[in-house]
Amino acid sequence: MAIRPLAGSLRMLIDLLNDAHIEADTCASLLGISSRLFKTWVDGKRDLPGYIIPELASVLGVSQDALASGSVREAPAIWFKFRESGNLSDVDRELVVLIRRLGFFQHQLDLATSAPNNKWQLLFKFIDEQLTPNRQASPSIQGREAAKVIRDQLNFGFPRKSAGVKGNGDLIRPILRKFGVLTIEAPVPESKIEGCSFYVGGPGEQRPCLFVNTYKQDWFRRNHVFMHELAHAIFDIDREAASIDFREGTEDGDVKELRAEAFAGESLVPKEMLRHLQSMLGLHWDSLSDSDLAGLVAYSQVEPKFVLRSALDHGFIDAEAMLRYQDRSISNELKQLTERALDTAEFERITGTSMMPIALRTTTIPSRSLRLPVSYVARVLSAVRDAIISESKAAELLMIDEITFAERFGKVLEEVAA
Amino acid sequence: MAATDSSQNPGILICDTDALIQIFIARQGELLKRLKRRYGIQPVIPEAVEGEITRRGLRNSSMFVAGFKKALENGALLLLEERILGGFTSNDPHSTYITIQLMGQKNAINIGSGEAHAYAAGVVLRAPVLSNDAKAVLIADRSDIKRPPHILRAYDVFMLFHQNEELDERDCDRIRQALLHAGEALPFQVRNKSYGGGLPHIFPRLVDDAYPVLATGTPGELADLEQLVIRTIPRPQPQLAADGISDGDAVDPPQPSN
Repeated sequence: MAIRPLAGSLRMLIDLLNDAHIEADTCASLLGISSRLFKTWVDGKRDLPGYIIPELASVLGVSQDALASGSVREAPAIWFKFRESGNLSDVDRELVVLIRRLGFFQHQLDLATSAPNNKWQLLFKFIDEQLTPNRQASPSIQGREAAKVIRDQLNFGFPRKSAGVKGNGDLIRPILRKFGVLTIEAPVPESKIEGCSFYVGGPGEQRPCLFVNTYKQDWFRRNHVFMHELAHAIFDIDREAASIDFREGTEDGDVKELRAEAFAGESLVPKEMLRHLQSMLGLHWDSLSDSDLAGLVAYSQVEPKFVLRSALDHGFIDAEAMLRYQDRSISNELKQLTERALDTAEFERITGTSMMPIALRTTTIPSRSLRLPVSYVARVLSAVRDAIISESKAAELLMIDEITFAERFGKVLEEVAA
Repeated sequence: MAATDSSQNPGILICDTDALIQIFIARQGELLKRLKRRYGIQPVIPEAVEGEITRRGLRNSSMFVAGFKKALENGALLLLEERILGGFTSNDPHSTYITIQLMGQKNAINIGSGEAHAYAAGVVLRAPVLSNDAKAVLIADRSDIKRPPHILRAYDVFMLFHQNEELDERDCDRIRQALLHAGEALPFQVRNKSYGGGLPHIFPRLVDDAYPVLATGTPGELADLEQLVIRTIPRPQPQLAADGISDGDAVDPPQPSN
């Protein structure tokens, strides 16, 4: 692997940042690098040091070799897409840098704790092969056909009352991880991005990463967004480097969006699932009560609007009924059925468990702070406890300094060690 | 390793972030210069350490960044770039640099970037590393990370200059207080003791064989097993002594802490 940039090629870095519409100062502060030091690299006064290449390449979406040898001719498609989209603000662009950085760190954590597998490649290839006869089919049919393969391969089944309120939504994250797909959920209130998918990792170790913005999105909606992003990862990011979805929605009729939405619907709420729920819950579609609706949501594990739209698409209800049902408030009924509907305070009170406080999960090094997912922070701490990574590495992965790490987690780690 | 003469002193000391931060918080950057002048050991830092020390958002950075920059400017510290590697290895500097970077990137999966590259440089250049992180040593041992021949702590540097009488016990106590005040971690053997009170409990990893060893603890950690013994470079003989002309001391006179 080349490490040194070729002479005179450091202009590439400034061109890359210009193409991405990211100021050098902003990029430096998001990466936690001193602006002065970063400027010496951008200006070509100093060689780009080898230690920063893996992270910078991953964040910018270029190969390490290309960055090291200065052979990146233009920014990857992801940045052009960001530049062209009128929906994207500076905050969104900064968020993408941070999310890609988190993706890089999560990949590193996987490398440290267990060799990440690339089963996703086989899965995506298998889906592609299954779809070959349907290449000319409509986007919706392509999405649905791919979803059938996914349901089969991921062992998605039908909920049973005897098993408690469990469903396919519970399976998404662990199964995707098993296939080597990274999943990230974090709240970013300032951004309009709802979800995105892109690759992280260097050449030969690239993996799809799915991000969902949790701000004002409940767990049910996030399940839907995850499957939507998975569709983009399967169909689109090879060609486009990344896919982004906004909270306000994207243009209707966009082939890629239609396919992704059909995929999400068929994988989480197919017709058979609705039939199964009808029978299990004793539903009468023309007169659904609030508790019936709550049951539909609790067991399908997607948000009300999505399950109702699937019922509409499959002819269980008509458009008028959909409008009538989707405005119902079922939050109380839903909370009675599943703890997934509880907010943090309610969850802690009812289950007697305490969630990791937000203050312990907030980054301090990048200029824009990010609230890290509980599961990610817990995995980092577990790796420290098991002496797999050092505390300085843990601080790096959590984007805080070592003093802050010791203050936040020193006691917890000492107690466990004792 | 016993030094029979000063030519066996290592030519460089690879410094990691945490240890350097302690040296600058204690306002002992001058000791880096004295390592070079007295022992011929040039303190150097991998580029990753520069990135860590100057990183934005670090707490207490006002206590060490200025000292760090000054040390880089006056040559007390050198940046371990490809262009200076030729001075420390007989191998091809370009391939040596690449080997360090690749090993550092691999190490950086389990340990912090600074220590990862410091360890890599220490292994490739067979040089001692100044790094405080005891857990990193343990982790290196458990994972596939090669350890450099000697891993020293900032505290070892303070003890060395106490041993060779350039610092006295009061200076070292002040250093200890400054570090504690800044919330810096000290070796666990001396955490709750005064400097003098800690000496019988800590094993010195860096000693000058021309002076009595003051710290008399027994080896207790992995890195304690590899003590680095060095010797002062002999003073140049005054060539014009008959004329009463001397070229001065090769070694600075002892000075109290800054």
